[in-house]
Amino acid sequence: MTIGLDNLRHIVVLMMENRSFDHMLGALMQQDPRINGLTGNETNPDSAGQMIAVQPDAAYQGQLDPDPDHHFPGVNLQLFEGTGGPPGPPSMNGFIKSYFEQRHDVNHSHKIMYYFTPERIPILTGLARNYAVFNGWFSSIPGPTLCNRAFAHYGTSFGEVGMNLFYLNVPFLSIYERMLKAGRTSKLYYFDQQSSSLEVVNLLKNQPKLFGLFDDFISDCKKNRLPDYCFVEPNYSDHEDPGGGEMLASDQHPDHHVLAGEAFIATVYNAIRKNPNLWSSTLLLVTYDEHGGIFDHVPPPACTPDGFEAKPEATGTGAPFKFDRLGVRVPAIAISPWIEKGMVIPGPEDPINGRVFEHASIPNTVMEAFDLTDDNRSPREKVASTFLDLLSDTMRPDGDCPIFK
Amino acid sequence: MANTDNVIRIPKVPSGAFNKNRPVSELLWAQVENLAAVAKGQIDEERRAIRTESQASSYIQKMSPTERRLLTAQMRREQPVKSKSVIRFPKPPADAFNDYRPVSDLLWEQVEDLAAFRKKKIEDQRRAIKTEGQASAFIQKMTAFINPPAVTTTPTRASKGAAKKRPGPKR
Repeated sequence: MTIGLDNLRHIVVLMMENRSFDHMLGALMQQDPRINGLTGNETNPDSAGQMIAVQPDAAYQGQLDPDPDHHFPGVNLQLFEGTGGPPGPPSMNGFIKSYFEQRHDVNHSHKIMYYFTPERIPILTGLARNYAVFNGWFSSIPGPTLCNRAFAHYGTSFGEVGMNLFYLNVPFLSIYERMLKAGRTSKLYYFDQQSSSLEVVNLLKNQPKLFGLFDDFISDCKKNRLPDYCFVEPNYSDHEDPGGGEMLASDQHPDHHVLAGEAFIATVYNAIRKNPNLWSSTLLLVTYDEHGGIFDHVPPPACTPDGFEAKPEATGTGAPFKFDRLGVRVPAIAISPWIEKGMVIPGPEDPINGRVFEHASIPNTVMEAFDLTDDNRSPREKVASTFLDLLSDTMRPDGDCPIFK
Repeated sequence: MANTDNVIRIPKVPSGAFNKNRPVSELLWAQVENLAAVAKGQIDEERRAIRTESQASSYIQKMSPTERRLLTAQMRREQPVKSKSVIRFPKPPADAFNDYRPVSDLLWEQVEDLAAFRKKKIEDQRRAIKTEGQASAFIQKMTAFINPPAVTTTPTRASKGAAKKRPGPKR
């Protein structure tokens, strides 16, 4: 056991919305060739037969409207365009064609290939360059938000590939319930009541003590009351605050402003960073639930089947899905002063040392961190890669770890 | 406090970014529908759990429309009329009160009507949602209904992080 792991008391997960790895972090490859991002030569065919390359022209807002398709059939097209479909390897060639289907505007469909340059999103890229960035963190399902987020909470989506999830009478406990059962503390912090919790409404109903507001998170950080494990939800909607003022959505879901999400990530990080007790004993993971229909060049790999099967009528592709392959790659950054600066965890591009992570890695890592033993878990979660080994024996000096202002 | 010269500036969000009239995204729709379904399920679950008159009255209070609850509160606040013409009436005995009396048919009917009313109201409100602002107002109501303790936690706007108070959106 490393000293960093020995000092670990808290794990915090912040899950943002709907952005692919290449879209947010791909340009970092120009700064560090170990990062499996964009060379600038990656292309996709458009519906007029032209090959369209990625462009560093992503806008903060107003560009990805309508919201790019990220339901199961749409993602299937994005992954397997020009191939015989699964179980063959994904081509990653259908992103433009999929987006074209929504507006039938050839020029607009090219925008799905746009990405941010690092200086435009300095918080996320700053964290990636200062801590550990995963080259191979994939969404758990080639599908939409709720089933993907389920993997972070339960290690499975119980056979669901869509958005209509209640998780009532499910065979496995959520990671929060497992923590409580083991005498540990755990919490989901949602932004406010207007934003609420997105995906675990059954827990909201049956386990209200598991929930807090984002203000509680800030206060708990200040007062050294942070639970052993917590999950932070951003604000999912533009709405008015009951006390006056405008609450800006901070989830980065298109078409919400990306910089509001940057500020939110900075707020979560600073809340931990500015408390020395917490900073030295907390591992923060910032990730995204799924790619939101936006281009990424790395084909999602196969994975251990989940033990569930979605029927053809649920997948909408005419074929069943056995949860035996992952969704599109998303940004993921592990943050702690015990993590070496500028660490890059290799992914599938490295056949020898590469590691694959997905959202089921979250509950499995929490189980490992707090010595929880519960065999009643999904097969996917049990074999999901964990990331505690990133914590080293050396705590970086305070001046080496950035703060956001 | 952190002691570092390694400072990264947080970019400012333009004031025009806020738009509560944005059409509801699929994500918010899913959240709205899931919350509505759980709330409606809860209405039925709580109804099925009623055994006594006391439980029925708590349920009736919870399910009553806000306007009716306000009216009841107002009636309670009204001062008694002063008059010289007083007719004394006998008081019921102390043991007349029975918290555990089984629910009468009359009360059951009231319970059923209010449950149906409340579910219909949720459906009507859900169907009327067009914008992100309306969706978030609905989500707030459902969250408060499903998880009442959270209502007591009043957010302090000073620590909202990314969500800053700013003037109305520029259009």
